[in-house]
Amino acid sequence: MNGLAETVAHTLAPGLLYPTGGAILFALGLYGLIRRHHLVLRILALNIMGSGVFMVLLGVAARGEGAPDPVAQALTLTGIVVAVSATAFALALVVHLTRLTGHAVMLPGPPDDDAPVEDISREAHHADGGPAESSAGEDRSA
Amino acid sequence: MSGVLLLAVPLVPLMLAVFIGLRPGRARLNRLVPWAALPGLALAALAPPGLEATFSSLLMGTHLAVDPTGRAFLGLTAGLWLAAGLFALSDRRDDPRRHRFYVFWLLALAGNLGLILAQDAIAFYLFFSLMSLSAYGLVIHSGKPEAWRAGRIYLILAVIGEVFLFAGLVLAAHAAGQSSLAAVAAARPEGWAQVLLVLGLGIKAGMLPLHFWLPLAHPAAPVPASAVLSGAMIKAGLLGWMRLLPIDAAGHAALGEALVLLGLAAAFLGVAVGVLQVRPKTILAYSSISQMGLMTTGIGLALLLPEARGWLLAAVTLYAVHHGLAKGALFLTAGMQRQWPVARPARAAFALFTLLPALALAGLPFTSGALAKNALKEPLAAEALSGWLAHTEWLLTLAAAGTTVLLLRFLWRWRADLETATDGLDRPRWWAWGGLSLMALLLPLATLLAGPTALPLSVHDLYGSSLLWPVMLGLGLALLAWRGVRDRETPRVPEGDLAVLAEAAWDSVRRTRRRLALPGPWPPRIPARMRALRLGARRRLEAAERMLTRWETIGLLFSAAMLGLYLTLLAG
Amino acid sequence: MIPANAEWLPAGSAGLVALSLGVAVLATAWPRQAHRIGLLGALAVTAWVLGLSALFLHAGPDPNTAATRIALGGWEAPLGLMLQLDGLSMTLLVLTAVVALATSLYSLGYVHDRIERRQFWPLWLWLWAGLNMLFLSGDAFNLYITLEVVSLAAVALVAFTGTAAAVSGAVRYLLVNILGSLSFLMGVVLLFGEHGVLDLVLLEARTEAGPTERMAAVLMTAGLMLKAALFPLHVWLAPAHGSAPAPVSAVLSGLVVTGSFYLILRLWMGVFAPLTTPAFGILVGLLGVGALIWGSLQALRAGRLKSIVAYSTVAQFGYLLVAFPLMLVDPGAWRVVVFFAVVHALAKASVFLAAGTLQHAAGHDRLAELGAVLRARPRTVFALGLAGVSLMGLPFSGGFIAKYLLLEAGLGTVLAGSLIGVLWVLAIAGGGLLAAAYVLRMVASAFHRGRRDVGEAVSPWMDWVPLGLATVAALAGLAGTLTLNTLALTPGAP
Repeated sequence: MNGLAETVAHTLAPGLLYPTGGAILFALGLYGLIRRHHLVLRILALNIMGSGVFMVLLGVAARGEGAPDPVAQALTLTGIVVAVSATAFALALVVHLTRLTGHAVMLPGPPDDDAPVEDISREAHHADGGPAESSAGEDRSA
Repeated sequence: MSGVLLLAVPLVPLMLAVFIGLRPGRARLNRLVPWAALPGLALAALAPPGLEATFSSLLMGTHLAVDPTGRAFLGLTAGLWLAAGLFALSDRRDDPRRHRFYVFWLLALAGNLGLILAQDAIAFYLFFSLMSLSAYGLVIHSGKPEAWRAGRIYLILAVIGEVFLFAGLVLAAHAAGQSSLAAVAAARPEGWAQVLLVLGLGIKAGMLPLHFWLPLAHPAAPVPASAVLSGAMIKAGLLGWMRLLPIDAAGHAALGEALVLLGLAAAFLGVAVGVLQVRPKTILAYSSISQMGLMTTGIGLALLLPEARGWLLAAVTLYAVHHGLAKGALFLTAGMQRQWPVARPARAAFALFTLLPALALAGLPFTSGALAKNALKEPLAAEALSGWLAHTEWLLTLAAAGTTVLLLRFLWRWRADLETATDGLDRPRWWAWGGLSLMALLLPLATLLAGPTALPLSVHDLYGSSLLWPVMLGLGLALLAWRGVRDRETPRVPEGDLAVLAEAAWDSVRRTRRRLALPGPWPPRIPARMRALRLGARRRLEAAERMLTRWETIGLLFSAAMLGLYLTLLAG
Repeated sequence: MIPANAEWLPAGSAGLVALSLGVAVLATAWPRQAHRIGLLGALAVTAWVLGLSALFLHAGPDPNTAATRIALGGWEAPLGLMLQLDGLSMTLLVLTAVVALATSLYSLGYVHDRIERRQFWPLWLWLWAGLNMLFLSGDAFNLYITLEVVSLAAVALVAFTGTAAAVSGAVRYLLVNILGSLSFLMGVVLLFGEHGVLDLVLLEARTEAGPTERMAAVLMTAGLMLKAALFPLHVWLAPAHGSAPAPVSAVLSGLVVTGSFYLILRLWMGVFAPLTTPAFGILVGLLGVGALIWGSLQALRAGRLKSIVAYSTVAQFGYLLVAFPLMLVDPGAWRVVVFFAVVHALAKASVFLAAGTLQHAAGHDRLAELGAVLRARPRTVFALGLAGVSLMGLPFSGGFIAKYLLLEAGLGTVLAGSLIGVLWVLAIAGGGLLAAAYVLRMVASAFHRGRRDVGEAVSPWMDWVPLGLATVAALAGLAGTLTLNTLALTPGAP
């Protein structure tokens, strides 16, 4: 009994708990990224993966004696900033995609060889024709 | 400074080719075409001994130099291209597509000059392939079906030759540890590298079983292009052999024996097939095969007789220069068929210019051929070659009889279509042609006065009974044949002997299969079946890629990649 | 007068980062003039890089002192950020400058809508600045940041046209990229946990073959493989590159992917060098052979011009992977790999630019219907063919020298007694044939008889820039020794 409690306490020590938890979060996030089809869920899954990485990083900071390593904390903060901006950008893209197609899932498959190709360099030559499909997409998404 | 001089030789034609390509309409640029060879000629004549330059930042460190062998080849090549270029200016005057001809001409010229200067494997290979591939444009220039067929066969063989040469060079350079030609030769390429080099260069040199592009390409190409093809470009293979084969103090008996055998066979078979031809340029092409056979024999002898290698290589070089100039002149002769002049002195000059290179090739005393042949046979008298090789000297002498017969055959067929010039003398043609023809007399003079030290020849080498009797024998044989054999208007052996055989074999296989309605390796109605197969494959590929694109697959592969990497790192 | 001492190099490198960032910030802050700022900035950055390279070559004949390390803000390695300039980063900086300048000039003609110009130029300049920083970073975490800057800018550019296909491709690209970045970051964190430093040079001195290092190596390599579109993790590449605007595709295929590969190379030459095993080399080499075959087959299948080019990138990166086992036998072969990547980047960028011109003229890039435009635009077809010749590795092109050197290294492996070396040699030789097949497929209809149609008018930039860049790619072989000598100035590398 005593031995088990000791093991649990040892495992819960920040030096091991955080890396293990981080690795589990990382794996869970990867699983979610693969299995979930809704793009927002996928972005959330990526965020979970990111949290796993930061958790490992914090565990690294807390390891050893004395005060936690400030460098690791600074890195975590920087990483979070990057993750937040990437998430924001990804969400913006997903919103745009939803407006265009009406769904927040990815179009299937490799390059659609028959899909129409828009060419921005030509738009100035027929400036009258606006992007017509966006309004149609909006109706469906609403 | 020497770097600029050396680099200018291939660069001047290259630049001119670019200019003509950009401005095809400029007549003034066209007029410069023959003179693009001038820097090469000037370098051959005036370069101080040991001129070399290394461009360490060009390619993989390009090394250009003029060595004694290279100087002789450079002089021949540049001179011949210059003369043929002058001839081409007049020959192509009314050709609407002449700018295309000139562009290919200049590219091939740049390659030909560059490969002579190149002293490292990469530059040599690049210039060699530039020459080979550009010459395709010259072969197909006329656009006739015959030219396309000749071009196709030429291209197939040229590309095979490129691949062989490249593979051989890579293998040899890797074995040598560096890419300079001297180092490659010093490392004595063996095994595959040697076979590949011999074959790759042999295709260009018209070596026996791979010679059949010559009799197809030469008659198909315009006259000046045939002159440089036969006079200068096929010598590139020879030069490559001299640069790359293990011709050193240790010798190389097996390869030498093989080359002697192939060379002698080519010398006689070329004559045998050549006399059965009817078109003058085809006859000349077979004569080139025969003559290249003699030079191949020379290389083989140099491998067999290490003590005499310096002499033999110099002799082969002399022979190559002599043959290049004479054969170039003879090809231009073929282009003078419509220029039979009216005035009597001009007729005398015409006859002189026609006969001189032919007699020189046959080895008449006091011509360049006499000197070259004697130089080639000189070391054989003293050396005792064992076995069948002991007959080499005699066979070399006998080959001259064949050459005589072949050239008489050429003159005869050529004379049949001789026409009187309608609009006076075409001066540029006359200059180019006459200049080349007279080289048959000037070359021995120049060699005797300022010859290479490896080849101490004297005036006595200009004559000898071993030169005269084959010519007489040839004359006799030709007389007999002329009296006894009726001529035909179609060749008894089709042009491009082996190529025809291969084509016929391929055709008959196809025809037999069709006639017997054999199922064959693939079912009938091939195109439809193939299209279905291709569409099926395409659909399957697309489906596979779609499968890879699924996120489940991406995740799986990502994890698998991690696992695989981890395991291989552990596997230590 | 170039100062002959190396004292100017730190200032030059830091100045390059400052200049490229400054241009990007300026264009972002003043979008109305973004294209003017962009053009001037492109010229200035290119001039700066070329000047820096001249200085570098002039100052650094000794490979052991050639790495210039700059401590930003005066904070030294364990704490501060380090910039690092050596032969490898210099070569890639010059490559980036050449391709980016060509792309900028091309974009002058390609992006002419006023609104779009305002969006395009800042993003593009950020991408360029990110690449410059990526090549100069000498610190693992900083590498992660620059990777993110590059990816985010690249994703935004892919989504630029705003169509459903483009946005969908961009979302896939983004998710894959973040996955790769996070995996990379996890590896960095593990390394940091083990050794307490992030600086690559310090890390290199401390790593040995341990379990943590191995895990970190696996995570970072897999993440970068994803980002570099190495087979079989390449699937995001074709949709993203195929639907991006032409100049963006050129930069993505030419530079961004190369940037990720650069990191793989740098890590495995430095930090992870003690971990390599023959089995690892063989696995990577087999992946390379797979990439060569699969990418070429897909390029032969694809129906759109830009998809063909995108898949050809997948195939060509196979060569870089095949080079890994060669490097285990002959460590000096890495320079050949970089040279190959340089030539490929130049050629691929010009192929994409030429494809963009054709797409603009025809209004689409479906290969089956491009014949008329191909026949009427010999200049662009010539650029396509010239760059294609370099991709095939025919004589007289940069690709020839690169493949020659690779083949020679491969033969060395065979001669060293490795049986699998035969496979590498066959792959290198056979890959050229496959490349010839898909390049011919692209330009074949230009030689058929049929209708000619010039199509939509294109600006002179779009007409001439692909040709210019293709010429540079073809002539790159002439600078072979120069590149290899520059690369030799990389300290620590064999």
